[in-house]
Amino acid sequence: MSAITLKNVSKSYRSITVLDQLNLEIRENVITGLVGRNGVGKTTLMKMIAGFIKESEGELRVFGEHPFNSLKVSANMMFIDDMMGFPDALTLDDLLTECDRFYENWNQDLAMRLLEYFKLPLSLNHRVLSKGKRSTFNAIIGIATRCPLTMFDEPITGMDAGARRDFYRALLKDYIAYPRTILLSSHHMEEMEDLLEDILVIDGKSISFHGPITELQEKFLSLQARESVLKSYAIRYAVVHRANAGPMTEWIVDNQHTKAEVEELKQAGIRVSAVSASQAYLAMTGQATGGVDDVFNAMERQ
Amino acid sequence: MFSTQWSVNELAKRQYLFKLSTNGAVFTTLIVLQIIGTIFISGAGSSSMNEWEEMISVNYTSISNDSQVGLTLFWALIVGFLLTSAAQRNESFSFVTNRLTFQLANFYFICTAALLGGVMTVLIGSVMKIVALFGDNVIIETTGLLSSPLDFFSRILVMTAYTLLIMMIGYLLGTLIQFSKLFIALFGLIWFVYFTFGVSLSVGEGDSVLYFYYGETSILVFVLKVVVSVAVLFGISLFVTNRLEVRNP
Repeated sequence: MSAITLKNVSKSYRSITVLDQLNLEIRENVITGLVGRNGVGKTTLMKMIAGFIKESEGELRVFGEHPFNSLKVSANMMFIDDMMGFPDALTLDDLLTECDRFYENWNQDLAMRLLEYFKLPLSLNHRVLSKGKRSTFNAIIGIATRCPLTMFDEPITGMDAGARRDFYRALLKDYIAYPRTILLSSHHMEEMEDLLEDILVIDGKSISFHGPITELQEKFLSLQARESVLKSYAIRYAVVHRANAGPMTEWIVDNQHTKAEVEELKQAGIRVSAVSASQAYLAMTGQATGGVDDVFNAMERQ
Repeated sequence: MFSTQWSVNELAKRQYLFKLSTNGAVFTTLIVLQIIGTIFISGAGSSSMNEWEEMISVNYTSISNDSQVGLTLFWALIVGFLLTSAAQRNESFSFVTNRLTFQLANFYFICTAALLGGVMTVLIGSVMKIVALFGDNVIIETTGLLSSPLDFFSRILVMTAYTLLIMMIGYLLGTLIQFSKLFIALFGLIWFVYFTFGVSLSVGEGDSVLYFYYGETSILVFVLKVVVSVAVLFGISLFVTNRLEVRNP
């Protein structure tokens, strides 16, 4: 059963189209990673699912309900981001009380213990927290509400390495104990890839990949050898990404080889290996090309 | 699947309690404002002296809580306006709500604040009488709770009604401005036109919008007028807000 269904959903602000004709089904009780470059519409998608903003066209269903103005969706959904507004007048302790008032599955004990572990004093005000601490607090709220649909939009903003690791671990542990549908967006794919089951890559207003994380890895192969060798043997493949590391050159290519072809490559002394999910994602969204160099090179030539 | 189901009423109530706990400052402001008003403004009561051919002279000072009434109404406008701010909205939408329960909670809150404003403003009149007692040789001629209870309660009712009305006006203005910033320009224009031409056209007392309320002699009809106006104002803001997108900078 799918928790979230989108049929031809688009979202545009006046003349700018942010998301175009999305078709998507998110499985229930699965952790899905939502990745994509800045400004491709990850947050917009999540806000639509949360019912904060309204889709411009298409059909959007969350547990069978249209989320915009739905009390049911609101009561069973938690959306965590760094823009979360909490009143200045309340302390962290008061905020936990409010969570208890509004969320049926709220676990006060878990929240208190996590706050204590992350050294967040209950008497503090949300406003005075540092950026990292604020993110940590919001993330704790997200975990402890145990909503059937929990969404984290860049939850680790400002967190230090230790806090990030602990957050992922806490999320995973609580998810295993209380399975729920989780959507998690972050730019640090390498940190969260152990946690994810499915992955959803948004690129240029639409979905470029959605499926199990292993499937994403299988889409590509990494070939390592001297550049001349690669050029003579592997030139016929679609190269997604090139990188030089010392004498070796690494090409990430589309994985559309027959077994014989792979054997041939290996014979030629090319190291053929699988790519990690984050490598695959970076290659896919063109983040690994170092293309910004061109900008500066062009300026120097003038 | 869904585990939680709320009714609109239940959630509006919880959102209202949430609003009460986060907006305590609204009530503190009113209290501080009234104290300041009582100490600094009402000291200047108007004094008059009547003399009749040097045989007898009467000094009388009239004290009124008009300035407190003004302050409360001003406070009401600001509070109504502030309730529509993006921060207030985001706070509510951090927890369970939809646009209807959010509006209802705001409305309950406005009613509470208006009642408090009404009661406080009338009671502050009693405080001023006590203050006046400290002056020497004072005979106070006034209507109070014991001498004319009906009058006293009707004063509270009327003051609450006015506060509610003004608050809802502030609320609607805020809602419209949140909907589109163009309304700021529109309101500015209306203000300008009214004070440039409206006043110079010398609109008769009977034609004025305000006269519709203060010119009413029957308290029941007055209350009815206010209730209908508040319902219309609230209906408009409900309609406008129902499509509003939140947490959307």
